[in-house]
Amino acid sequence: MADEELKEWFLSVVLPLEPQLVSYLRRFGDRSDEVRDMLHDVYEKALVGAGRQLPRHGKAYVFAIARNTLITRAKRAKIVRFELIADFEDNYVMEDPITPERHVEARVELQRALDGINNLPPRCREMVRLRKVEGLTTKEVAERLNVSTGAVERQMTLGMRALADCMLGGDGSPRRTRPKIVRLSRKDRSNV
Amino acid sequence: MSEQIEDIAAHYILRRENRDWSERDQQELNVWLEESPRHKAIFWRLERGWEMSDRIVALNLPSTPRFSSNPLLKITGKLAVAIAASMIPVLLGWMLLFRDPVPEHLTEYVTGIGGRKVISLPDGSTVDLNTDSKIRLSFTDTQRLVYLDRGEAFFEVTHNRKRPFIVRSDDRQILDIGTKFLVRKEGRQIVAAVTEGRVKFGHIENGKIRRDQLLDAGDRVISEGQSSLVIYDDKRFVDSMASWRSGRLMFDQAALADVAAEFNRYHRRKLVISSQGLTHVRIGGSFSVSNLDGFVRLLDDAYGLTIRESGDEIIISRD
Repeated sequence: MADEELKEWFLSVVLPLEPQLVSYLRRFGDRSDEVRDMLHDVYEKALVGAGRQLPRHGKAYVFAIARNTLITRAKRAKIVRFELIADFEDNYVMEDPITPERHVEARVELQRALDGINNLPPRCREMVRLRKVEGLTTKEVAERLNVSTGAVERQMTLGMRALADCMLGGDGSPRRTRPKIVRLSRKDRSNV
Repeated sequence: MSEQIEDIAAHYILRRENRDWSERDQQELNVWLEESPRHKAIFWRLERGWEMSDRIVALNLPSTPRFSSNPLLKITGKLAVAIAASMIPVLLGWMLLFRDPVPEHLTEYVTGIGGRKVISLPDGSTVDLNTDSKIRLSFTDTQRLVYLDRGEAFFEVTHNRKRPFIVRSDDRQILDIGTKFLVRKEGRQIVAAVTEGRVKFGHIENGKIRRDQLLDAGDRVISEGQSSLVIYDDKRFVDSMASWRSGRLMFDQAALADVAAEFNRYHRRKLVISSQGLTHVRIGGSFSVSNLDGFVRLLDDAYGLTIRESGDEIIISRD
């Protein structure tokens, strides 16, 4: 199937489901990195399956994949009690199995953009503003703010990802791979 | 794992917006996308999210003070939403709208050769900008104005009678009555075609709209100089005019010269027809926009033409 057809289907049928998908996948646990990974799993599998022929009922198809993804993860994690697995395996009753996603109101989307940009760290926010509103290139942003183009790319890609999360219906807090800081207790330190 | 893929995708999206994005860069991106459906999913998702946040343009953000940790300049939600929601219900006759002088500093969107941009506007409308095109937006309380300076754009409009959506190109004006239409400017010729709904097409003379025509789905108008020619009820043709949106070019008995000219809009390497007799050979079919080499091979196979490359030109001849 032509890529364009698949992409069109993905953007118009699958992506609008993101808010519901995220809240569904959160049944597994609240860790945002795991939820995000599962979300990407769902999208990947959706594309693989739809590659040959587009499914007739997109929403049902995507949520079937989501359910399987949850079950697989839960079993692999082995931390979920048997009763919970049985819960996942129950038919997930969707509110509207057939009705197409309603177009999100323009006002809602504008509010999301506002929240998204306000939640960015100040440096990141300014760079995104220079890019989107004043149309500066990466190099021009770097010159304006007197930083390296590398720094601009790092910040803007983070901002891009956070904004995408927000616009597509998530919470939009910028993720940064924070190094884990492990505090040694006095007892541990003496053994080091 | 996903983190790294997202990071790579984000970097590609960022780089692609720079003017020095080459065909080789595009190939590199295509290869990376083809590596895995996961790459495609993550890339397409990010691309859409980034493009949706173009709405930021409508928020009139002041610049952030020098990276202070106190969010001094958080824009209050109420204010911003009020800007979006307020629509002064003044019903200006659409003829009077042209009294506004053409403003100099507007939001601009530009695509390079082979480029494509889908823009989500703050009112919920979208503009799909084709290769080598330029538009400027002027959105006010009373109207939504788009100047098509160059190229071609496909519009999907959220209709609002109190805040009309108008596309202007040279001295032509297209008023949206709702909902989907295409406008193309090529030199002095302007073509407007409606795929869904209805528009009103007119000439702007001395600040007034003259000779307006109502166009319905399937209609198109070809306008140049003083004249406009309307062709009614040809849905198939109008749909084929918008086939670039699905990455295809469709022709039905089109002269090779015209087919070549169409391809040339999308590629830096240009097709040149060197034998006089060849220009009128008729071509029909549906071709992938980006696959220039495939099309050229097809000409070779189907018509036994000679293909020679010289610099940035692909020269097609009979012998």
